[in-house]
Amino acid sequence: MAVTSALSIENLSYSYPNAGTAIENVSFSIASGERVALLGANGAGKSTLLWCLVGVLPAQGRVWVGGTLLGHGTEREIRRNLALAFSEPDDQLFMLTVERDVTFGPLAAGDDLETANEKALRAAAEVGLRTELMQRPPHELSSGEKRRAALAAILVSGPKVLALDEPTNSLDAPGRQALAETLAGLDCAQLIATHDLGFASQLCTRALVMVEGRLVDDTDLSDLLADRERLIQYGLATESRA
Amino acid sequence: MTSSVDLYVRGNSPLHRLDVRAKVIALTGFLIATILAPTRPIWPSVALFVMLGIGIAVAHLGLELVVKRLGGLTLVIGVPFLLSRFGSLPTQLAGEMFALKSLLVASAFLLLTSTTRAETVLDLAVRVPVVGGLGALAAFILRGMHVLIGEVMRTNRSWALRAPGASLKVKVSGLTSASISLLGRAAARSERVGAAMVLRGFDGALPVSVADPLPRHHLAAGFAIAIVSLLVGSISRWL
Repeated sequence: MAVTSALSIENLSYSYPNAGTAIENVSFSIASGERVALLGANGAGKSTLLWCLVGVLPAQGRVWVGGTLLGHGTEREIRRNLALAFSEPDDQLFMLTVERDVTFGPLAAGDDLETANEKALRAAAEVGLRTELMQRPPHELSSGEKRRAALAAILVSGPKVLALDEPTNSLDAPGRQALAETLAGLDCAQLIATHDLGFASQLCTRALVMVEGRLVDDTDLSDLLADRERLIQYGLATESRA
Repeated sequence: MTSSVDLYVRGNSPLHRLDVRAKVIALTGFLIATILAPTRPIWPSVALFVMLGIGIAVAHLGLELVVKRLGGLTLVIGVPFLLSRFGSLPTQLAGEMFALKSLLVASAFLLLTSTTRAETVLDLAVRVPVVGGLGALAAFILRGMHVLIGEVMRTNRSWALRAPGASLKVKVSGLTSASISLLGRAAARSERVGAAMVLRGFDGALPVSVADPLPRHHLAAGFAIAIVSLLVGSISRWL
């Protein structure tokens, strides 16, 4: 396993208590700056895998972010370098104003207010979040604005890898397009867990496919999209063409 | 109204833009002036009402909103006032004083709460090191309330759509299930929010930062309103 990749995982397995195996022996690597789609039907284990990568769920196996192995004492470093965007931005935005939310990470890391504010403005600009929204409470924002605010809140710490869980949830077509453009403009490696094949194809050339907790395919995304039989087999498309 | 919990009315008037600390200074002056203003002659109190009226006009709040919000106080203020009219002269004076000062205080708080987000006040509290922990706790509670109220409203809508004209038994059963479901959802959400905090470096201590300095022109405006109020409220004592 190449430990110089942006993200490498080896034989990762996790079982929920009293609920059977959620992911089993998953291994793959992502290079710096690479964007990879993580595809799979509902319940395939995509979200569980992302939670395991940041150490929230204690999985068996090994996770490297950069050259750092996830383990006791390295969680903080891992979480600084691997940011996870939740499927629901409402769960990720917990402060009273967007500005306070975006500065939360830098302040928690010990930055002074001025530095934290500067970083927050840079992160907001990076994701196209209008500065006048910074003083607004998160619950007043639209779905697209919340998504941008949540992205700014995790990108503010300068992660090397960005993991996104169903990033197009509750976004309309212009919102999805804007998000795709934002993600395309980021330098960090990205692992995008999604059902949205159109969105994935806009951003990624490589796809990892999960079925019932196992990684069953690591393939070129355009090849996969052209192979309807495989899509149906993986639960990513149905027989009906209506 | 744009917020589900506080009374803030969205706007961009000078009063909306005034720093909340300057507003607190102005409000403090106004409240002291209200206490100092005599009931008779009545003109100092009328002058204070005029000041409030100017504030309400500047903030573009609209008469309808003011009447609607103060309407709830009609019974609380009106009934004791009317009853006092049947009493002796000191009782009548006490009734007038109570009505005037209650209306002034209520209107001043209406102006403050309509032009200031509750979040802004709490955010300021979070930035005061001494009470930062308490302020942060209050902030999280308020944010939680926003989320919970949203959930309750959605559940109510779902309930109303799916059980029109239901019997009392069905309503009670539905309400019980909905309450338990809401608690379950709140617990699940709090776990996810907790994870979001931990992932962004939360280690049990909330990051408290000192507030930005209050701009001088805001400070001056706050003191100006306070001083004018005090002059208006107390000038009859010097004449």
